[in-house]
Amino acid sequence: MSRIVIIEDDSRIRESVAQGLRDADFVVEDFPTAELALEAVMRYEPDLALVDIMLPGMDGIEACRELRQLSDIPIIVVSARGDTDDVVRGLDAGADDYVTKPFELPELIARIRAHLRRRPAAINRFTVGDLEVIPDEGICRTRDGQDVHLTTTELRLLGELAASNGKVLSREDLLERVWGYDYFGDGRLVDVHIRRLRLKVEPDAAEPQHVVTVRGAGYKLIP
Amino acid sequence: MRSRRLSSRLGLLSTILLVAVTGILAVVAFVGVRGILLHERSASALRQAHVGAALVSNNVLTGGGNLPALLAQINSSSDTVSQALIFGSWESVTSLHPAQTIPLTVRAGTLAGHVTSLTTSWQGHSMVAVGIPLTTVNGSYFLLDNLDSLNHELGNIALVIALGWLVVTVGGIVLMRRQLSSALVPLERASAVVRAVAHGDTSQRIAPAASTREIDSLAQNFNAMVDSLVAQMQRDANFASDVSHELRSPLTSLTASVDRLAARRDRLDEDSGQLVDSLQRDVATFSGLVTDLLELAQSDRGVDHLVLDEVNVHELMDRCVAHISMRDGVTLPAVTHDGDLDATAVVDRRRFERVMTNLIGNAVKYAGGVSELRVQGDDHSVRFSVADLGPGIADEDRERIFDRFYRGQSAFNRGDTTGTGLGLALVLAHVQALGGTVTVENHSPRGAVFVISLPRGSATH
Repeated sequence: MSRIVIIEDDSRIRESVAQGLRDADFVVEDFPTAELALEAVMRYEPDLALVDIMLPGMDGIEACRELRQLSDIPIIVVSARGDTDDVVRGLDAGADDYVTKPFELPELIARIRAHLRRRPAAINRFTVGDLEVIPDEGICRTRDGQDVHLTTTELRLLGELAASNGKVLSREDLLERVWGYDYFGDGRLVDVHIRRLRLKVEPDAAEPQHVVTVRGAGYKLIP
Repeated sequence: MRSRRLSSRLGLLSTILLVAVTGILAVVAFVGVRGILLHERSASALRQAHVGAALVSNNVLTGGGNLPALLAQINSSSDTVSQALIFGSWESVTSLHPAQTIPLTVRAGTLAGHVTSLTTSWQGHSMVAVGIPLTTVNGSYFLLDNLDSLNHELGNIALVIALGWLVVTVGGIVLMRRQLSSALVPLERASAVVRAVAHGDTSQRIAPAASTREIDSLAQNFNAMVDSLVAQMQRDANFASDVSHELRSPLTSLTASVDRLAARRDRLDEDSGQLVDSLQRDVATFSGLVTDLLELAQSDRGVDHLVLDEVNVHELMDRCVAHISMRDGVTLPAVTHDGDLDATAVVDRRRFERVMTNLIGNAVKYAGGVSELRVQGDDHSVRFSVADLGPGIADEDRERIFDRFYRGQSAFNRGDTTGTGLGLALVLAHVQALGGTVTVENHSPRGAVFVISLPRGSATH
């Protein structure tokens, strides 16, 4: 049974969502503030975090950043803001996905399951520039043995690009393979994660040599 | 009355005025100059005649003799002819008989003892004739002054005045037109801005025209008006956004609770189960309404960012229809593909899917289902059409069905309450955001067809 942490200040939402997830056979721990959640998260070892962006005290964006320092688990941010800039800020801070209020419980559960699904990696072992990557073991390290921390989603993204053998993958392809979205998912998920991935695997993220953009088509990997 | 441009109207009026005023001035100037010159010449002829008369009198009295030589001497200027009638005999230096050359009135007046002068015309020449009685010697002295040279001079003056008039008039017209059009330029610019604002581009403002105070004041007032309108629009949009936003949190917990209740439906008795079903439907409708309102409010505030991709339109439509069919559990006809099968368009896929969801949803809910789905790639645009099996759209509804919360007669007739009344307004907002248009026509033999037209994408963007 997967463990899920919910950080949500509105008690009605927190309780009904927590209960709904429990109904769907998840183990749920819920917190009204980011501070309380971060304190507990180390001993709790969750598999996924659901973080509301608008929180009293430390906001959801900052919570994502802190959570990222502690763990590579998938983070789904919950946006209630009208403008979509919020979503991008959340993704930039380390979130893997987002849902927008008002969401329906089945939709949220489907998203959580998509992230928790343990799929065999598309490729076993590959190298990118100076890096050696073993997705199934969650390993990404340089030749001289230094660990490079990739999140679960980043590892999957890199794995899918590597498995395509230099072929261009469109945003839709990546959305489908990495996030489990269909054709109509939000392409910004891909763009933001590619940006973050480049910061970790490229010698110079401004001039990417490995994870390259193919204009009007998508992305491809040059090992 | 036909409306003409202000500049040409003012231009015509001022040209007529300018021509008239300068023309009158020129005529007055010429008449004045001519009068003065003629008067001078007559006066000088009279003076000369007095001198001549005195000389002739003196000559006769002193018996100096040789009167013709004296007369010739007096006629120093080639224009004048002096003649004297002494004791009834003419003394003249011309071969012409004086009786022929000197007008009768002058002769008669002089013989009667008066100094007489007359401007007259003789054999095509105009001249001044002066007669002075020589009482001391019982004779008359006459002087004819030929005005040809004066007339020639007057002709030259007239020519100069006419030329001057022409130069002043033409120059004046050119200058005036230039001044006029430069005065009207700010007005024309202002008019362009007003037109743009009227068409919804509220970012436009009239630039201050330093030269014209009237236009400057118009510009300031207009700009202030647009500013306050924009502020009001912004407040309205923010209000809609704030309201829907405030509704989101309670709605989320409501949805979650109802979803949980529905998940336990098998543990409820039949009546409670039906209540839960109806509750779930209502909450879904409410939720859809709030989502639609927020989306429209965002579009009004201009804060919704487009996520654009260039995609093959046929594939887009196929995927979209398959997605909707699977998600909503409806059977839809296969998409018909026409025209260029490689046609692409730059779209926001999520919005496109929303547009199709609303159009197909309307057809299924209100119009007996979808009869045809079609994609056509043309040279400059791509067209997506959704035809339904309903009664068609009444003419009076055709314009208004894209208004917010407007429901056509057919929706009322069915007593339908599941729609949000915002579906087509959202379709319009999304299609416009993608630079396209949406129209509705009646389909043959029955039903309505909604057509989305988007600009065709370029392969090199």
